[in-house]
Amino acid sequence: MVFNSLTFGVFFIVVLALHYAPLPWRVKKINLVIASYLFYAAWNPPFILLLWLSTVVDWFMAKAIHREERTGPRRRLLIVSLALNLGMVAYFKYGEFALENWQALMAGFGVDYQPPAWDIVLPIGISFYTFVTLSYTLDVYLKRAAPAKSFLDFALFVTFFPHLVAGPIVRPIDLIPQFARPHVATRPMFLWGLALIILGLFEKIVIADEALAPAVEKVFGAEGGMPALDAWLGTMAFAGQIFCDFAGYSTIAIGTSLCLGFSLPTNFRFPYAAIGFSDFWRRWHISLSTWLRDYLYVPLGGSRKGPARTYVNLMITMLLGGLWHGANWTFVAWGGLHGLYLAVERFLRGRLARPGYRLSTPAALGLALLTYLAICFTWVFFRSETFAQAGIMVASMFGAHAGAEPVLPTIHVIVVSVITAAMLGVHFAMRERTIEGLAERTPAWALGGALGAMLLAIILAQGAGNAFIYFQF
Amino acid sequence: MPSSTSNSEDYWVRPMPERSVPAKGWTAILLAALAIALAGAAGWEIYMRQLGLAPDLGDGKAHWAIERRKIDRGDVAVAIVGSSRILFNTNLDEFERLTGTRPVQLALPGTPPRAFLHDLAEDPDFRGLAIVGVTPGLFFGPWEGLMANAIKYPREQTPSERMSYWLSRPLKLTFAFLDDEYRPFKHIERLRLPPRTHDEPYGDVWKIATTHADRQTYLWKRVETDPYVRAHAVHAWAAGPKRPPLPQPQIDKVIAGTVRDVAAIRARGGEVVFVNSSANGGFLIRETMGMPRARTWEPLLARTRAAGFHYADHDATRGLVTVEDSHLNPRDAVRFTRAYVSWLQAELARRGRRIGDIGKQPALR
Repeated sequence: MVFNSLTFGVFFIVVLALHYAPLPWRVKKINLVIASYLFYAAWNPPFILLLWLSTVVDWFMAKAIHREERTGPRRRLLIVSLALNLGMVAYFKYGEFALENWQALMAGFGVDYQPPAWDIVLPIGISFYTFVTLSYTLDVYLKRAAPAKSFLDFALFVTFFPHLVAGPIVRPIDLIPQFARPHVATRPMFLWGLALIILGLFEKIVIADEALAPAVEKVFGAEGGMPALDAWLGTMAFAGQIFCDFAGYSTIAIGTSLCLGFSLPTNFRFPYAAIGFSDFWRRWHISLSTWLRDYLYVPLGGSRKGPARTYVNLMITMLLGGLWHGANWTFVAWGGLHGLYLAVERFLRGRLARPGYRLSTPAALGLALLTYLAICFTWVFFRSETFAQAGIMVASMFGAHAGAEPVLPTIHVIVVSVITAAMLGVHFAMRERTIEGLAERTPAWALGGALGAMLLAIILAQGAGNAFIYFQF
Repeated sequence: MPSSTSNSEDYWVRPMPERSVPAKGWTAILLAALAIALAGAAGWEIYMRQLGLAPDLGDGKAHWAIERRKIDRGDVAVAIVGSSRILFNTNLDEFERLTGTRPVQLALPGTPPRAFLHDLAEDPDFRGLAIVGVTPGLFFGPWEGLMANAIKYPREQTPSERMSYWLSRPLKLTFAFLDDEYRPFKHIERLRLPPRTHDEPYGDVWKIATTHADRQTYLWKRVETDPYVRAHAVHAWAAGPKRPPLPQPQIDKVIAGTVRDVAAIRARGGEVVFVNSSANGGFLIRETMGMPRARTWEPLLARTRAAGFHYADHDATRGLVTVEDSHLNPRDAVRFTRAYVSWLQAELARRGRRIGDIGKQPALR
């Protein structure tokens, strides 16, 4: 089920009605678990078995790990959990990719290997809920947290529908304590949740799907090269589309949770105002970047094993982070570029940074723009389906096809330019602020007008119920 | 559960999220927002109705899937596959009035029917009459068409998507502004600005149809009454991709595939007929020049041994004029339907068959 659908509207009203009915807290939690399974089953009912399997196995594994004191058996139990979780992801998400690469490798040795047809549907959000359950088992294994006391709370932590298919990737600390005691929203909390839902839907339906997607499809769907202006604008349109799509999802998830009385962690903090790439990853998909940091980069040694290992660890983390997004080498290249950026930034900071030095506003703006353009360059690899397509795009961006026929109509040039400029302006203005702080300072009439305009735009844009981009990951 | 049992490094520790809520009068703010949105939507609805829009269901994969699932019942007597011409030019009520049978309308705009005929041929639940609309440029070409992916949708549609579609139907039948072709951004895209690309903003097809229950589709009235909208439609047809004449092997390949599908349907007691709808102007010139009957239509009928209705062969349809070179207005669509259904009844009677009984009798050869 997608948030931007009439089905979700009806579903959410029923969920709210049950949540605010005079029922015992345990019954309300059971309702939320059932609702979350329905939310998932509305996409493909059989795959709730995977969700259930992942929940049950990690529940018992974590308990067993917690009881066991000996290192060897604890490690073996962890391996069982990892094998199941990562095995499911590997099979459903990377099986076909692995076969294709094996075929290519064999062809390199002159062996004509024909893999069997791979007609497996990718279970929606599998990478997200796998990371959620893994964080639980790993925290228990690393003795960072004790297992949950209640299976119901744990099951709800894994399946809670606002975060289930596209994050934020929650940790046990984020939700399990909240489920332990009765939670309903106060009236301001509920209404603020509704306001966030309107904002998120506006980002997704109006900006991502309606205003920017057509330009993205024209540019990335073009068969040949194009003038540099078209290539850059198409890439910037994608930068805006993926931000509004994904940040919109997170905002709706936070809003729906608030309406139910729960708090989810922030997932985006105006990332296109980032100054440098480490700053970008502190602002973009925060729940993933912190997950990778805590469960991959740091266990690899982080920055504790010398400069060379730090760079290697950074690169491994970002390459795997890229692969997490999809079974395609273009995603790995995207992650590799980010790893390279982070490594170069780390190297330069080590040599150029002066204690106490503060950037002037123009310098900060310039560096933020430079960061944005470098991030846009990486999006080419993220959006392109093949390296050939990415190559044409990169060549176009640097003027290799200056004489080619433009692909973007004038109106798309204007729309993308205006939205990109507005988005960068908002991100930079909000760099050190929060949406809550902004709402606090804005007059009520302006908030009402802005929310009314957004709601009107959502209604008129209709929304075709397009899936969120990150569902495929 | 304890919040944590920290080891020596506390990089992983973070506080439980506790979101702050801005202190504002949210009830008044959200009520004002709702009032603004409703007033704006009402104003937009009035504007859309002034432009000639009226509530209709609209077409798309979800609407098509409902019709396709009717085949699964196993008792469908007549199914229509084809492109927009047979879709616009068939009046289902008139068809039903003449024959007592209401066809299932599976034709799709801008989409060759071959894959859909093959789909029927492979479906053991279909044992009826398949009426295949032939628009030569689409039928004999190698391209998949605009809505080729509809064919998988009945199987791929999620429960959530099905429910959303059913929830949207009463809304679409109430509000004219819920028209995919008249969303605000479509208006913005159609602003006349100095062009960068060769054909903006006129290259795309704008709204030309209204769609109702059972996918009964009519040419939109405004295409008839507004010269600008009509001229744009004619321009959009002419602005389509310029293609060389179809090579003979391509035509032969299409016919060979069609022969196999016709045989499969007949083997279950079904039947197939072909209908070639009216065309005028630039469309007619392109079709006559690039795909003459002698190379396409005649061999198709000969090799499939199927009956075919060509509008140019019948007095009742020869003089019908398409509004924008390709589709008849709703009144002429009734005439066209009457003509081809009368012909069909006579043709089947000549073979000892009747519409509605096909599939219930042993196959005739």
